[in-house]
Amino acid sequence: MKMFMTLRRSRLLRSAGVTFALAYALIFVVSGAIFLSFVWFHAIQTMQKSHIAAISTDAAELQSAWHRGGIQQLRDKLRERIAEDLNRENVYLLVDHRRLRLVGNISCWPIKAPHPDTFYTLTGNETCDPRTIEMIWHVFPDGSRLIVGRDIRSTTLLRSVLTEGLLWASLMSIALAVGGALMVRRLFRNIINTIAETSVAITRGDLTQRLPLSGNEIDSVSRTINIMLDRITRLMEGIRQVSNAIAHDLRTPITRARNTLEDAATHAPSVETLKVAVENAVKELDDVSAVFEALLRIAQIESGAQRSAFTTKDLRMPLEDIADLYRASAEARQIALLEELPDKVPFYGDALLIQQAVANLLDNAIKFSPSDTTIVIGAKFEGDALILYVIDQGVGMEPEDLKRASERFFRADSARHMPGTGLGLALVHAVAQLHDGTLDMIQQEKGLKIVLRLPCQTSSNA
Amino acid sequence: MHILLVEDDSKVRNFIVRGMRDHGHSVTEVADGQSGLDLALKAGYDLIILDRMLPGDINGVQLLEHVRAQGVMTPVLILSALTEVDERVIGLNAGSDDYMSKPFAFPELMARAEALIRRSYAQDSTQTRLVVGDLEMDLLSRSVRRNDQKIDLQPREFRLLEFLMRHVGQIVTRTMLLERVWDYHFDPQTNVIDVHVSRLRQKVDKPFPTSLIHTVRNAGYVLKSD
Repeated sequence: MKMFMTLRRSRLLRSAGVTFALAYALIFVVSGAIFLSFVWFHAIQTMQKSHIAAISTDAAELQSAWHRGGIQQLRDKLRERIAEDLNRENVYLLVDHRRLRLVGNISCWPIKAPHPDTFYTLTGNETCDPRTIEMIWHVFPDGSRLIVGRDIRSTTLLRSVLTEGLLWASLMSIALAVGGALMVRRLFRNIINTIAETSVAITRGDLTQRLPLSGNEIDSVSRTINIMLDRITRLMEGIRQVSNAIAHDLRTPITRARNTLEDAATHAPSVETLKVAVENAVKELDDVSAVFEALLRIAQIESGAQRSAFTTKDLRMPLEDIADLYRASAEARQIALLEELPDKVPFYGDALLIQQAVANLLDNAIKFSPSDTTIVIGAKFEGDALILYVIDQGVGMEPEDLKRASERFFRADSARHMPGTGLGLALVHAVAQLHDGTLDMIQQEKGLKIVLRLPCQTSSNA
Repeated sequence: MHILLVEDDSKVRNFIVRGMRDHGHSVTEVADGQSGLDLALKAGYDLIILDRMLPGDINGVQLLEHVRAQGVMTPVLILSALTEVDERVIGLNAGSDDYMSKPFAFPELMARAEALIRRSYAQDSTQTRLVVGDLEMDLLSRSVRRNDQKIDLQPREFRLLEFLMRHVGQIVTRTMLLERVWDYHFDPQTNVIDVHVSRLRQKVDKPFPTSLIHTVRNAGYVLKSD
């Protein structure tokens, strides 16, 4: 058992390919064995049955001969039979009640056949005859006894031929099994190798490779891996974009601050100018700080760590507060800010993050709306989700821009010089995702409708 | 006023000390938690400005917990680079009275420090009236009069004015207003507060000969009658 265990752990037996191959071989051999055994037994059985049938028929005929014409009739019949039996297939022996031989083609009564009317199979050693026979004997009312039998040499021959043939067949089937197993193992390896090779190429950095689909069950695995690769490619593309954007949006204020300070240090005509330069540099550094904070916040939200802060809260107050906060700025630009909030907005989530997301949306709406327009902020429950929406009548966005708007630092060309970090919508998107929700931006006839759809969860199924 | 400053970064320390002394406060500065704890327990300070990440065995939060456990109620302002909401909650739960993040603007620190110092000397909140110059606010009837003329204020404007009046003479920063009047804890990036203050001024200052609400450059606002 111990050796088996050590064997199992050896690399060869852990190989899946070998396992499959061995399974194949085993099934093949076992099936073959069952099949061949069946054939063997059935053939032998059939032969045996035919002998017994023949003997029975013969015995019945001879017995009826005795009943018709007594022992004399039987003796005649027997002599007839023996004379006709040119192939010496049949075995007959008739003795009288004193065990004296009357007619027959064997010389003595076999010892190993104690009971009448029972079939016996006897070899040459057990009879006075070299043949292997199947026989039965009967006692007549006058005490005489008759053996009827057949030479079953043909059966014996068939048996040995079959056995030899089947042994060869078994050997062949084992050879085929091994050959087939090796093929199975190779097939298996090929499939795995395709995956392995593609994977190696991917780990070396070639993200364009995808696993080929060959129409078999492995495809479901390949397909999943390909989807993963697509996602990784997208994420890496995203990181590249963000790096570029960060490069610009962070390095620009840092560069400005540095230049301002350096320039002031060398060229400032007065302390006053120096002071102004320094103050400007401080402002630029504050801008950098703001971008960092916003980026950090988004990263935290996206990491999902915030889920632990989820509670059930009525969002009406936070939403009203934020609308109130921004209403003054809106009205300063002659923009009306209306609320469409139900009396209660109970929701399980992070109320502060949702508030900040809505704040970003209002901020954008106000920035991009001309005067004499209306902004609407609303909430409603639809099915099992909370819908938060902000509708403005402002400049809207190009369809291509709509898709990219929630990328970090993305600014449509029309918005390039607006104040802000360019991270506002990225944060809204992150908050939506944290709540397993969606962010949609729909171009209206005039303006934009931004919809946050957050599924309602309870603390138990979150 | 006597201020205890516990901060391990020497540049930050010098910056704060210089600014505080300019404003007429005396500052004791230490650079590690143990010394800070020893001094804080002597309870001779009007305010403790506390950094959280300190070298040695005791960090800022542990220092604060010890101090509060000993019944010392000196106002504490935590000034820390650990700025996330969870960290603020830790700080406030440990017993701090305010929590500011780094990097910070000195006027913000000054405004909050002074608000905390004066709060410990301020009258209790069972007042029913606030008076600044000719401006009167009745907290029970929620009404405001200036020079005996009634001023109509919306609820939020009332709260804003109340806050300014309770901090009469002190600089109040935009962040403080966002936090205390709107309960909003992040930077909205644009000047939403300014618009609210300017609307308040339209009602409270514009119709009258003198202004009570003043803008302090780079800092915030202050309500005072000179």
